[in-house]
Amino acid sequence: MSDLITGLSGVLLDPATLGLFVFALIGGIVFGSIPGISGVTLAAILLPFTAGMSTTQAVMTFAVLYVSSVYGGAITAILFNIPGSPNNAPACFDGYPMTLNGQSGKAIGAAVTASALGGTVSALVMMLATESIAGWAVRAFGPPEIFALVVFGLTVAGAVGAQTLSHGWLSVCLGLLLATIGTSPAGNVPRFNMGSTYLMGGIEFVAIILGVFAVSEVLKQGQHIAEGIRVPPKIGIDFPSFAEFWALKLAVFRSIIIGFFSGILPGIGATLAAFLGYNEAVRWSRNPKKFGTGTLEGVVAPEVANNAATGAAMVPLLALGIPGGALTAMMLAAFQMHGLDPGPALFMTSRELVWTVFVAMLLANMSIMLLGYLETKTIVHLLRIPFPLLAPIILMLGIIGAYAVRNLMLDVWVMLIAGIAAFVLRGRGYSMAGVVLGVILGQIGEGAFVKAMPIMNYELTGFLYRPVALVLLLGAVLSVAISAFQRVRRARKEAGRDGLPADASA
Amino acid sequence: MNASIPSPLRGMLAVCLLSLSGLGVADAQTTEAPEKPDGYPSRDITVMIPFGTGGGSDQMMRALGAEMARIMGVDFRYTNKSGAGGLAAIPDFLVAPTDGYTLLQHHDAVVTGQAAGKHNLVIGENIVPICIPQQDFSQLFINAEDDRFDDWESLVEYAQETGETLRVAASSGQGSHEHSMVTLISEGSGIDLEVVPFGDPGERVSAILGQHVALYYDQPGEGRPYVEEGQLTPVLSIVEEAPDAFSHIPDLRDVGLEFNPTLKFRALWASPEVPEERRDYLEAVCRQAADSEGWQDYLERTYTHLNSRFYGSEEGTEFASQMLETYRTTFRDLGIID
Repeated sequence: MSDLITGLSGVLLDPATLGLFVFALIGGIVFGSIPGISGVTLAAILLPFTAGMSTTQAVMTFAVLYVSSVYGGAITAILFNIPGSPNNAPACFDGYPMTLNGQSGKAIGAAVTASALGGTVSALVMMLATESIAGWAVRAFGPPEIFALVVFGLTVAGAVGAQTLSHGWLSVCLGLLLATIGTSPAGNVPRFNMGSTYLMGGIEFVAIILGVFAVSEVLKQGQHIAEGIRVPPKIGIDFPSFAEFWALKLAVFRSIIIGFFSGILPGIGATLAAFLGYNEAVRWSRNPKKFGTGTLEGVVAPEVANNAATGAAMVPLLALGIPGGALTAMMLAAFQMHGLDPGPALFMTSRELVWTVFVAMLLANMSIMLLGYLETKTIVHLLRIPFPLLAPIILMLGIIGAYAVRNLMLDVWVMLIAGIAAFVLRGRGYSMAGVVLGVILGQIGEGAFVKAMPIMNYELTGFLYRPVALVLLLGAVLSVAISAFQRVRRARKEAGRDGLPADASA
Repeated sequence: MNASIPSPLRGMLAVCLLSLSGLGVADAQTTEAPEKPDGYPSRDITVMIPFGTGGGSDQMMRALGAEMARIMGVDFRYTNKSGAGGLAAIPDFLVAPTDGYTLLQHHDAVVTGQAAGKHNLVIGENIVPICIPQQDFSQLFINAEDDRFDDWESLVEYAQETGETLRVAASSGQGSHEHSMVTLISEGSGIDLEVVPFGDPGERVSAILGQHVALYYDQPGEGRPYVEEGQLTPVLSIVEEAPDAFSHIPDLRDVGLEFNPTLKFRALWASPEVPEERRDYLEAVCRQAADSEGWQDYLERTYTHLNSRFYGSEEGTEFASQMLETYRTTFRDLGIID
């Protein structure tokens, strides 16, 4: 309790710290919502200036920035099908269809509440158990376990948003294939790069998601206008009701667990958390077909998960000194600029700092709730902009976003080609969610597999000797088996029903 | 500065500084600056950084660039072009105007990449160092809780007795500085070591702290926080003769390894077609920046102050060329190139 009071007074009673808190909160939302420019960009600009701050202020600023930037990108994903960052891409799957269904307010409200909820619970768990969780997570999850986790996630990817299961799996396979372009993580051999040095870095994920979501949607809406069948989305400012949220309690709980554990793992973080959160919502749903059509659960599950990853990312950083991604790496640099190293001793030597950061993250998540509520009532009115004016703005934002990630024109071309290809594929029942899932899980999965093999002496049976990996792989096999069994049973039932009149007439 | 300004004001000062930077206001303390050749530079300098925002290379360049910008009286703009282990930035560097307004930050991968034939940069032909202000040797670390061995001697004994291949978490795989050094150590010690490349520093540290690998390869400054926390133990300094501060850790000669190790380094590069007087000016500015308190603080913070020395363009080219020959020989011996 005294730690909590220390943390609260650290944030609220010092005007400069409070000023930085507000700056980071708003800065994170703004930078997080612009495609291709993330909280990391703002953090890099800020890094030199942290020398003039106290260590607590510096680390707190980055922590708040991290929380708010992960949330910021959901707004553009829901309203315009432009995810601000890869971890908000799954919010497009159902968020944008909700906007088209006139439920934009509800979708944003769900994203806001889910983000705040995921982040708050994650911050609370982080406060209570950082020291004990960190060591366990690092020991239990190595590359073999991460690979098994990706396989587990992939087993449900084919069921997301496609006309048929075969369309879904073909979409995922296309994504997996795209993920192989670049340089092989095994031996650094150039692969499918067509002689281009630029392509040796692989296809930029942000360019793909901007293409398949934003560009293809502009083309689709343009087609509807040309055919005279476009109906502008109605403005909805309703906030989701408590009952609607209560109905999703299991999905929220599941996403918190998924998000938290994904966040702890270095190099994985909020993006995988969001995708796995969405996948598991589909896997455990009684009606998986509703996903991709505009269901509240499809917005809540990934947004809870990616924000749950933010508190979790602090766990290895503060307890072991391990940065999980670019932003936490900069926090590490901020620590070092002040002659301090995060690690086990930090909890004894700098308890005030640790608790100020914890409390700041908690308050940031709560503030998101308030800001988000206001946004629900205001920002949705952007949808009133006529589409002929909105379309070039979306395309311009997409081009800026694709270019800004690596400052490469190639990424703009990739985005445009992906957009045209997606427009054609969507019209034929393929799932863009499946393609994106394939790209992200393929990249992470292959990287993990290449590291896992030497660790397991190049023997696939090595997975059998690692309990966590084994459970995840068995879960994957079971998931496929149950899905296949259900399909066979359904097919037999349908065959039986079709055959009944014939039998009766015989 | 921290000691003289009350804590609440420091944050406000930082916010004010940020606002000023947003307006593009540069500190114009140019009184001691080298003389500008024909008014160069008259506008901002762009530096391509071939790695992501916030990484080690990015931080190094921003620290050096801040000092250089102060001396030159113009702003430095940074373009992070990450991908393919630092190769994705190279095409843009090669087609950029050679007027001295576009520079490249890169590290020893320029040399290893040329030796292994991974890119089309040729030192002296289409790329020259302006300065090489940061170098460091590397170390091998073990997990302090690993009960199989506690120093280099016991590690070698263990590996020889069991015949087990010990995995080493390093930043790059085949055709890199890390891979070649580990292979030479492996061959010289008669034990099996295998590099597992982890591009992400967090994953790399996680792999050793979680005991998924037996060893961790990095520079002393990268490993220092974990050593001070009692999580990692350095067991071998990959240098012919370690500086005094590391005399308690065996170096290559102490353990009977005779090969000549290479250093990791970070440098600022330009095209050789940039007019000579501009390159000379940039070198002089870099030299002055490297003497600054800000840069020295950075070196100390990254623990590279013990091993870094300043190489100007000419000595830097010689330094890089010597390394190139060493890598070529090593890669040939290891069968990586013909």
